Amino acid sequence: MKRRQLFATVTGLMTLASLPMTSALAQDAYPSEPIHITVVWPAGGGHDLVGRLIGHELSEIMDTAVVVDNVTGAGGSTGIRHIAEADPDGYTIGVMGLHAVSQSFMNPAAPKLDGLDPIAYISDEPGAIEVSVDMGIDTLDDYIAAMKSDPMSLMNGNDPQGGNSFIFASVIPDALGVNMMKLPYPGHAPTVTALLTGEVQTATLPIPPILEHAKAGKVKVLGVAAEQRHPQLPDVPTFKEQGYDIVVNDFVMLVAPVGIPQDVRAKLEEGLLKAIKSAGFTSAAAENGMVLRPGGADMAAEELAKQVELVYPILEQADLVAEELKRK
Amino acid sequence: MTPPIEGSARKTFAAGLFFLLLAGAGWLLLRHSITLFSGNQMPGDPGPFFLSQLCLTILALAGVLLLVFGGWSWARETRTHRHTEAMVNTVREWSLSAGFVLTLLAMPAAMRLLGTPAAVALFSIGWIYVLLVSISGHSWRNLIEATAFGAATAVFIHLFFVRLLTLPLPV
Amino acid sequence: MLLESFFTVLADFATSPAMLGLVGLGAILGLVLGAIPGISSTMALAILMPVTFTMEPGVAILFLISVFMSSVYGGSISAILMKLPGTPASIFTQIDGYPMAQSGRAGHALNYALVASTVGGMVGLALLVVLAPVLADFATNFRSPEFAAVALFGIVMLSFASNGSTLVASVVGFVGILLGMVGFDALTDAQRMTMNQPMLQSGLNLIPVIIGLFGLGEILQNLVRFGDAPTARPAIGKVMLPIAELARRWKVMLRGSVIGTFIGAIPAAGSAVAVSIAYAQERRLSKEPETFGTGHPDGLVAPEAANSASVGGSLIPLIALGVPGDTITAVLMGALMVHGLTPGPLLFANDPTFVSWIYVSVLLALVATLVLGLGMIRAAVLVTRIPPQLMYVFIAVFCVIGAFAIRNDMNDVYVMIAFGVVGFVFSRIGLPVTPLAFGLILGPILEENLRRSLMISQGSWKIFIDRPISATLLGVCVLLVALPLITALLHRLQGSLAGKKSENIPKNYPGE
Repeated sequence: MKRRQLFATVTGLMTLASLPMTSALAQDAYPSEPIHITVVWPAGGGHDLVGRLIGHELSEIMDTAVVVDNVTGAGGSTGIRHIAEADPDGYTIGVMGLHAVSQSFMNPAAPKLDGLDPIAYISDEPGAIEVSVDMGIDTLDDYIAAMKSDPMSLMNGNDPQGGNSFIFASVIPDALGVNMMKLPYPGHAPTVTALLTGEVQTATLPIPPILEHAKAGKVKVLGVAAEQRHPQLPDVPTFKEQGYDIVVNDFVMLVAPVGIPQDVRAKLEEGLLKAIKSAGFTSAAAENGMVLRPGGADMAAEELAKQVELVYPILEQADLVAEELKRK
Repeated sequence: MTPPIEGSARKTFAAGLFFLLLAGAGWLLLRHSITLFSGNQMPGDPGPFFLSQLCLTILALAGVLLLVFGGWSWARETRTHRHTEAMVNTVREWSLSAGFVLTLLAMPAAMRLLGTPAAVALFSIGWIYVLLVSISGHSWRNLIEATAFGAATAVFIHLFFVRLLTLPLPV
Repeated sequence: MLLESFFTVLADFATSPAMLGLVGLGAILGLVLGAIPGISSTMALAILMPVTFTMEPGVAILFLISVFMSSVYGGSISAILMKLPGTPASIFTQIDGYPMAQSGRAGHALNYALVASTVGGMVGLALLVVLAPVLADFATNFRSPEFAAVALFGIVMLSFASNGSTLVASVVGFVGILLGMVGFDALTDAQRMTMNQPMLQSGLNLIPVIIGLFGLGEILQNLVRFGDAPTARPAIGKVMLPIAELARRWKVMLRGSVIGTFIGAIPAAGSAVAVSIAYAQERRLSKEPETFGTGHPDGLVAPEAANSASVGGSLIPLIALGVPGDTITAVLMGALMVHGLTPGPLLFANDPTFVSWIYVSVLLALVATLVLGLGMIRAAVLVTRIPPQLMYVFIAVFCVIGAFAIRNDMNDVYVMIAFGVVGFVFSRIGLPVTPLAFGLILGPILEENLRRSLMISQGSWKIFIDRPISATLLGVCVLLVALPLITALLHRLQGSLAGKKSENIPKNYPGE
C-alpha cells in the first residue's frame, strides 16, 4: 500500500516529465500543447488553489498537460496583463476576481477589462462580517449597538483600497448605518492573523479564509451578504434574514485573451465547465468554503458587467478612481 | 581624520555624489507619485510618502556630508594627475563588462523574438567565444568549443526549464 | 502525550522502507531543484505539488516536507559555489561561503552549511515540539508595533553587518529601504516612484535584486581585466571537514538556531529577517569581525542554522493558529488544502497524530538531507573546476532565467541586470552591498507596521513604548546604538589614564 504510493510518485514524476514532450509532437487538434493557467497571486492562496484543482481536472478532461503559472505583482495587474497580452490560441487562460475590476479603475496603467474574454464562471464569494469570539458579540444587533455607542471599540481588518474585503468593508457598514474603522492588511492571511491575535476585533473577509476558524469557534460570523445561507455555515443567517438588504460578493472566473478562434473557445469552455462540475473539484472547493455557481462564457460576461456597475460607484465614492479613468 | 570609504578621498567624493544623485532622482520620481495620489489615508497614518521623504532627506544630507568631506580631503591630498593614457586604460578594462551588460539588456527582446533557446544559444556561444579569445586569441578550436558549450547550455535550458518545468518562457 | 505519539509515528516511519524511499526521493529532488540557481524553495514545492495529487494527504505532506527541507540547504549550494542565492534566506550564506569556495575551501563551506543547517533544523524542531504552546503565545503577542520594533532592531543591526564605516552602511541601508518602496503602497492605493510604468508598479522583487547584486555583479567585476592574467581556478582542497572543527562552532550554531526559531515563529517575519539578524548578531559578537565577508566560517554557520531553524519556527503559527508564518508555509498550507485538509485550530487540536506526523516528517527530512547532502558534496565541488569563461556565461544565463522565473515576469530580468550594474558600481566606489539587502528586506515590514500602529493609536507614537515587547526591543535598539559610543568613550578615558600610568612606571624604577 505504502509501496504503491512511492510507485505512484515515481510514475507521476515521469509523466510530468514526458507529457509535454510527447504532446508537443502531435500538432493536430486543440489541445496539442500544455495549457497554462495564469494565477495572479502567489502560490498557496485561494486563487492558486482554484487554478491547481481546475488544472488537475482539466488535464484529464482535455488529455493534455496543464500548468499553473503564478504571474504576480502590482496588485494583480501584472498577471492580468500577462493574460490579456498572451496569444489568443487557447493555451493561456487565467483565474480572475474582483481585484481586476478595481484595478482597471484605480490604476491607469492596469489592463482594461475589454482585453479579457470571460470563458467560465466558477463561484460567488459573498462578503460577510466576522467578529472575534473574545468580544462576546453574538448577533448582528449586538454589533450594531456596540458600534453605535463607540465606533472605535471594534476595529475592522480588511484589504488595502480596492481589494475585495475593502469593498465589503465599504458596503456593509454603510447599509448597517455604522461608522467603521478600517485597518488595512496586505492580504487575507495577515488579516486572519490580526483577527486571531486580537489586533482587530472584526473583519470583512469572504468565508474561505475564515471557515476553519469559524468552525473551531474562534471567530463568529454575524452575517453573510448573499441571497442564500453559506452551504458550509448553515447556522449563520444572511443579512437579508436579519432585515438588512446587503448582497455583495467577489467572484472567481476564468478568462482568456480576446480573439480566440470560435471552435477553440467552444472546446475550452466545454472542458472548463466539465472541470468545474467534476466531483473532484466540487468536493475540494466546497470544503474550502467556496460557493460554486458554475456557468459558461455568457453568464461569466454578464456577471462581470454586473460587478463593474457595482464596484465603480463604490470606488468613485471613496475617491479612488484615477482621474483619466473617470466616467463622464 | 581619514575619509570613511576605504580611506580614499576620491571614493568618498564619488559616493557622496552618487547618494546626492540618487536622492535627486528619488525626489523627482516621488513628486510625480504624490501628484497621482488621491489623498485617501486613515487618520493617524503619517501617509505613504512619510518614510520615503525621511529616507530621501537622510540620503541627501549624507550625500552632502560625504561630498564635502571627500572633496575637502581630496583638495588637501597631493594631486596626482591622471593621464589620458590611464583613462583609456580604464575604458579598455571596463569594455568587457559594459559589453556584457548591453548584450544582457538585449536578451529579453531576443527571447521574445527568437525564442528562449535560440537567444540563450546566441548569447552563450558569442560570449564563451569572446572570453576564450581574450584568453588565448582567435582559433577554430575556440570557436568549436564555444559552439559546443553554448548549444549545450541552450539545450539544457530548453529541456529543463521550458519542457520539464514548463515555465512560460517565450519559445 | 504528544511525545508518545511522536515516537509511535517515528517508529512506524522508520521501519517502512517505502516511506523512507519517499523521503529520500523528496530530499534528492529538493536538493537538486534547490541547487539549481533560479529555483526557490517555494517554486520547488509548487512544481512538485501536482505529483502529490494522487497520494494520500499524509504521504503527500511527508513528500513535500522532504522537498522543502532539503531545498533549503540546496539553495545554499548555488549560493556558495556560484554566488547565486536563489532564496532570500541564502543571501547571507554566500557572503562568507563564496569567498571560502574561491579560496579552495568549497568542500568545507558546503560541510559547514550542511551541518549548521541540520543542527538548526533539529533545534528548531526540538523547540517546536517542546515549546510550541509557549512560542505560540509569544508569537500571538506580536502585533503591528512589535513587528515595527523588530524591523527597526534589524535595521540597527545592519550597521554591524558590513566592514567599513557605520555611517556609510546605514546610508546604503536607507537606499535599500527606499528601493523597497517602489511600486504600490501596501496600505493605500498610492503608487511610489513608479511614473505610472507597469514595470515599476510591480516593485523590486527581492530575488532579482539579490541575484543581480551578487551573482551578476560578481561576474561584471571579474570581467574587468579578464584575460590579462590567467584566471586561477580555485583548488578543490580537502572536501571533508574534521568533526572537531564543526563541534568547535556549536555556540554559533546554537545562537543562530535560537534566533531563527523565535523570529521564524513570528507570523509574517519569515526566514529572511531571521538570517539577516543572525548574521549581524554573529558579526557583532565575533572577536574578528573584520574577517567576516572574506570567508569566515561563523559568517556562514550562523545564517545557515537560523535559516533552517526558522522552518521549525514558521510551523508554529501554522499549527497553533492555522495561519501560515511565511510564503513557504503558505505553499505548504495550499498543498494541504488541495488534499481537502484546511489547517486550522481544529485540524491540529482534533488530530494530534497529524501534528506528530508533521514533526516526524521534518525530522526524517533533515536526516535524509544530511546523508544525501554529504554524499553530494564531492560532486558539487566539481562546479568550482569549471573554467571561468564557461562559468560566467552559465551564471549569466541562470541569472536571466532565475529572475524571470520568480514571478514569470520579463521586467524582473531588467531589474536583475540593473542591480548587477549597481553591484558593480558599488564595489568600484567601495560601498558595501549587504546593507542594501537589509533595507530591502526590513524596510517594507517597518513601514507597513509603523503606519498601521499609528493608525491604531490615532497618531500617537506612545503606542511603541506602552507595549512591553516593543518597548524592550526599542530599548535594546537604543542600547545597541549607544553602547559602542559609550565603550569608545570609556576606552579613551581608560587609555588616557593608562597612558599616564605607563608614563609613571619608569619613574617608579629609576634605578634600572
